[in-house]
Amino acid sequence: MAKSWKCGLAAMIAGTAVLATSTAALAWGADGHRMLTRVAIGALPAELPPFLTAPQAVWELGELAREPDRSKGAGMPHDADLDAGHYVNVGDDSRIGGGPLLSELPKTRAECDAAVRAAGAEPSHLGYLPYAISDGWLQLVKDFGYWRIDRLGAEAANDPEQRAWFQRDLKLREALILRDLGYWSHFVGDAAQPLHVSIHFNAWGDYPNPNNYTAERIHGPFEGAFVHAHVTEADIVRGLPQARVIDGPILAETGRFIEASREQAEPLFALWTKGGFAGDAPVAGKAFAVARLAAGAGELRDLIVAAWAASPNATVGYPGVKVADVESGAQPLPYAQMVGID
Amino acid sequence: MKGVALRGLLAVVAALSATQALAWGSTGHRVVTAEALRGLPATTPSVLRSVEFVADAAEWAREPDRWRLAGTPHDEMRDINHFAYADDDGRLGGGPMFSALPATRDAFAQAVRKAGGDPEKVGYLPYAILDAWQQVAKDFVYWRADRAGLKYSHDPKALAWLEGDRRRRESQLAFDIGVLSHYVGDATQPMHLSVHHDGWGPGPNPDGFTLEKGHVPYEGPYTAGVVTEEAVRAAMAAPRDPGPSAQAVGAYLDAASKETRVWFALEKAGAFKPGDARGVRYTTGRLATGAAMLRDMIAAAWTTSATGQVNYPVVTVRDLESGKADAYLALRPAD
Repeated sequence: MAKSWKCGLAAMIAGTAVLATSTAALAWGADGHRMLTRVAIGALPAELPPFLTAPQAVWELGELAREPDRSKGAGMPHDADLDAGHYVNVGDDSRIGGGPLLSELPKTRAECDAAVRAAGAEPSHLGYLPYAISDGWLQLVKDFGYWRIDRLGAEAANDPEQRAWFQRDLKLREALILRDLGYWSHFVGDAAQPLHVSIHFNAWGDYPNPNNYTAERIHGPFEGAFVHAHVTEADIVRGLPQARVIDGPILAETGRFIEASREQAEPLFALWTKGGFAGDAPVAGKAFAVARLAAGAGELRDLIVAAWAASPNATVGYPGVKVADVESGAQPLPYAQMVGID
Repeated sequence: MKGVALRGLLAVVAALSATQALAWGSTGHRVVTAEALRGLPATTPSVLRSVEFVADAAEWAREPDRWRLAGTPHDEMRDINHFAYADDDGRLGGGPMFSALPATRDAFAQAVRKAGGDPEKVGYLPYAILDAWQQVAKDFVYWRADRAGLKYSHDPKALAWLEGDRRRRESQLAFDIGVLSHYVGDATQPMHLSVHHDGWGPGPNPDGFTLEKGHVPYEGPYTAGVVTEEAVRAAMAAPRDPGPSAQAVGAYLDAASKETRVWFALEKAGAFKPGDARGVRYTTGRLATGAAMLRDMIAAAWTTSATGQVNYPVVTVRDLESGKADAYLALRPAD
């Protein structure tokens, strides 16, 4: 195999060199993503299934939170298709490319692209983080829906053969939930990094700069080396916001959270410019980083709880059988739909 | 289910909409995955051929269908990965051809729009396959790194972490191979690659092909009734190097899209009626084509991964496998 794979790898090496220098931010680095996800899982309420919070699961989720960065450099089209999911370069007017507002995101990614293009901008350069988060959340709702039916079937199916099938599917679904949740948690974490949601994504850039903010490329040093040197999991736990019930549309919630994060981009530049992240004991810089990571962990916790709460309304199989109808006994266990009716 | 006519099956699956076809149903996707993995050469890691890995990947090959109906924007983003509807002249949305696919999904969408088509209606199956293939190759890179670390490291803390990471990566590999398998399998269902995706539809029909919506009845219940693992295994072509990735996938899809007319001609000749061996042979052959392609893609991904690298910091597999670089430091960096 070879030629194009090898060419792809060569391009990958070159691409990695570019990324390492500047634009290609990993958001929070390995430590930040790992800690943010572990803290969120540790803060889940008892109503959630206990397999999520077992020590082995917490370890796996922390590592999986790094996965969207670890899979970078896989080649084309993989990288071009997926890398834009890590960010959205929102203008100071809260608009994407001068088009859609974060508070009024079009309901699909394709519609958002069309709206951005209509505003004269190129959507693939601006990122689609809101849709990566929304997509992953809906997947989690779906996963929880299957898990609920598997659990019920594993306990209540009358036929021993069916019970055994549900038990095995439950095991597979739990592995898949860890995978989907861990992978998706990366994007929620990215959204908490102000420089992943702003046109000022690295340095301040070619925009009016009346306050003379630093021209330094602060993205990587902030999210990687600074966090590694100064922030611990315990810091993030202490900074966690109160739990908040999320029951509105996922895209609206995503837009709200990203807007709150974007508003922190300018304060970050201001603090960096006045030396808040320098020295051996950068108290203000540490407080800023902890607050952002804690905001991300809190949002992740609340979104997981919301996904669990929404999962009775999910459907399983195709055409779909509503989970709540099975749990209430209004519908029989959908064994055939779960195994596959072809 | 064997012996039930397509016409009769229409009633059984009437609730399924044609535009949301599942391609092969659960049976077809399981068979493609299992036979591909069982057929892997001995040069690939033996874990891929283990009973548990095969069973897990075969179930996970169903996931892209099981995750449907999750809501907006999830469904709009993912459902378009299952198909790529070529015109009768082999063009996608009047623009690109399988034999000369633009390098990225975005470039493809631009080319389709430029030709006056709507990429969201044409579908992105080539890119779903390529993306999933490259992900599997990347997974192998990390698996090799874990294995190298377990070979060279003497630090108990590092060994424990590497062993956990290896196990986690194997689980992820089974899932990622399952997803790749789903899309490779979808491509061998002729109606996933043609504008004639559910009955011949409107427009010229000089051969008088059926207008009946046979997509779902064919790929689901019919296939489940006539296909066996043994027959698919026997019909698989010998292993071969699929070659450069974009060209390999383009050629695979181009060949598969030409099967649409073959399928309609067989249908017209009654080959999918109960007891007709032609339909059984054809359907078995389609699944065997998918299984052989998947087997060869996995083997190629394994070979390629020997020259890959892990990210951040960038460390080559070559250095890790020779012991020149420390796998634990590479895989669990301190930012």
